[in-house]
Amino acid sequence: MSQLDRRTFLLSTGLIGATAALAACSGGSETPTSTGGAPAVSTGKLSGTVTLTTWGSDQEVAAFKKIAADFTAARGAQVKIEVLPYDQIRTVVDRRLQANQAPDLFRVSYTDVTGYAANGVLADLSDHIDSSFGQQFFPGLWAAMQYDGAPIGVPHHTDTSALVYNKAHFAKAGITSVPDSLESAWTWEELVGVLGKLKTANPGVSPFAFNYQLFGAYRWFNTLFQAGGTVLDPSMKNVTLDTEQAKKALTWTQSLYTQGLHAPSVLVKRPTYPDEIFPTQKISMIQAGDFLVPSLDGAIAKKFEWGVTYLPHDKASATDLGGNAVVVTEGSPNKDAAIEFAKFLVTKENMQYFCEKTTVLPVRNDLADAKLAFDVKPDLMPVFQKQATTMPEALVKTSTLPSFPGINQALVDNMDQFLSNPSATVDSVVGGLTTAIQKALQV
Amino acid sequence: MTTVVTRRRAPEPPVRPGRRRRVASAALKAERRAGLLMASPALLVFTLFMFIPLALTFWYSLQRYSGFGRMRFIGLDNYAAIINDATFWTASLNTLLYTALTVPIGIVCGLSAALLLNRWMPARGLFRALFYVPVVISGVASGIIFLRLFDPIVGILNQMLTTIGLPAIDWQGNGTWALVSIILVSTWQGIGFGMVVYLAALQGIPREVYEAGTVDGAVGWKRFIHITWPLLRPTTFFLVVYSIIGSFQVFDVVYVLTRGGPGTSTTFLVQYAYDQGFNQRRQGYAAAIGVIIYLVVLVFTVLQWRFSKSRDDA
Repeated sequence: MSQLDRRTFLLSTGLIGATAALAACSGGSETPTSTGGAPAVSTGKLSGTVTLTTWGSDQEVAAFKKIAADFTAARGAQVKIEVLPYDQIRTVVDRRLQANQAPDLFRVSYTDVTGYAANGVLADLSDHIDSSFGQQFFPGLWAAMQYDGAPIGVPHHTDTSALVYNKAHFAKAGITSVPDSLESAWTWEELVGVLGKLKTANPGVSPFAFNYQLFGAYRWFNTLFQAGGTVLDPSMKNVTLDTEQAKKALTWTQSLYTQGLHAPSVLVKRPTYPDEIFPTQKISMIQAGDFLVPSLDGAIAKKFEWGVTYLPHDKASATDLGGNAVVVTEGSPNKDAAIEFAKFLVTKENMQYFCEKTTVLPVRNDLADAKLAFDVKPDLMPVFQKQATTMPEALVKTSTLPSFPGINQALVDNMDQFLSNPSATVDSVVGGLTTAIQKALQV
Repeated sequence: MTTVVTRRRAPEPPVRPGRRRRVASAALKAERRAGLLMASPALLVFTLFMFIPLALTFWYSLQRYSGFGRMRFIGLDNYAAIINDATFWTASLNTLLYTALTVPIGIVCGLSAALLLNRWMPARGLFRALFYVPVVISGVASGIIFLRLFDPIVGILNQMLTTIGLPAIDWQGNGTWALVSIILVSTWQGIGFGMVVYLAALQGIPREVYEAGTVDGAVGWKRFIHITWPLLRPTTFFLVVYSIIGSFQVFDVVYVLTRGGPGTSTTFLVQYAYDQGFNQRRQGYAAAIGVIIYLVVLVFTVLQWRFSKSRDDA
């Protein structure tokens, strides 16, 4: 019944998501212009070439290429998949937009979409879709694709984080069972106990690492919401980090470093990703996203057994809104073909294919209850699917604000000095974060 | 690179009273035309790639601009924001600290390498080349190599330290050690250049000076202090100013090795400007930081130019 719960939960956030979209529509000076007087091109032959600029694991790139080949066979236009490293894609796309050499389509996280839309660089899809198109998707995520009342992209998939652990290390530490349901997930105290046992039994290995590096810094908010804290108040205008819950979350995270339970060199600002270290067996357990399952499987192969369990909870369970959309640029020379390809990517058949090949979660209503045949480690996916039901509404709303990239950057700029310095006070980091996020909200 | 050469003016053409100006102008005019023609390709490149972007940077620093979309004129607001920006001052202090540490270390290492490789030894040319290779490797490539070497968990440096019983160093989690790692990589990159310049200068010291000094008892360390070092003073001054200018512009090593972290302990001015301009999408603000860096470096450049000019004219 997990998928039923998830569906109900996500449908109920639809109202919240719609409100978020309205809040996000802060009178932009540039309204996306619609394509000229040409009628919508939903069937029939297309010509020319379009480029989709994206990052991706090997499996994601292969899936994109296969869907691109299918599109060419069905509609005629060529689709070129351009692959860039993940931590460079934002600056590269920005520079190309500035030089008027933007790709026709690019992949973008939900947290970044409004930033681009606010600058008027995304194409309005209204002319190419009918009124029932948006109803195919989870309401919260379709609402996140609206700007100024116009749809400016298609939601492609969603992701979330859970705990990935090394079974061999667990066995050595004498830990025989891990939580097998959301209700039985570890409390923070239990997690610290587990990490302590791992540390004693596996010398020279770090027990744990979070996945909150750089563009993923906001994944620290999982910990914040687990402690019962929030980032902003319901009006989304004021920062609420000067609370007992937020300070508890901060001190608890810092204590993991000072007690030697968290890998000391894995922080927020450097591109040291725990999922790259986990296969070397130098970290026993990591918080990781479902989209990493294929690459972890490829890197680990038969070296050791690994599993997935639920994130810990304190006052509540919480996880992050991950996932990406695909958008079309306003300056695309072949907009018709580009928009048609975007629509083609999110048909039921193609979304199911993509999700099964890459172990990410679909965002279509007709796939919410489907039993997907995930290619890699299908036994691990149900944990991610159930964990995804714990995305707090307030966090989804915060994550899709237009100023969210600035909020994310506030974490990048302020967390390291606190986490890596045992004598840093929690008030200093609360002050730093509050100032930076307030500044970001005003931009 | 400047060379220690005194310039002499071209001899004046023969003067006849009354006709002086016309004779001079005809020859001079032709010379000027030829000169302009010869310099025009370089001038064109400089204008396109330096003067125009410089002017545009000044212009951008007065705007609010996200990189694409609309630009809004806001006058000197960016500069006012910089004065109140704590991170900017941290970045400035870091840059000063970095410069204060890297420049003397670079000079000492470069001079030592030059002194060692000035005397004849087998494969001397090979050693000189090896010392110089880091200078020509791209900063990004060096950064990536050292990123792996300095990795606190799987890096070979920490593995070697733990094998000989020393504690593993948290190269990237600890602010001080992160700065040390950047200084180490920059020094490694810069030794070759200092060495080459000092070698040229050392070879410019006449042997007679040394021979005269030996007669007076100046050998070994005394010879270095009383003869070599004073004669190298112009070269040292050039290298100090050149290194200061280079240190103010450090970017690629920092970006690859630490991204300015942890926190702001290795955030330097250029890297801060890059982050503000491209990650925060505040290009006007970044341009303002660029203008300030430009002015600071300009001061040092003028200093060096005036010193070498006065030396030449002396």
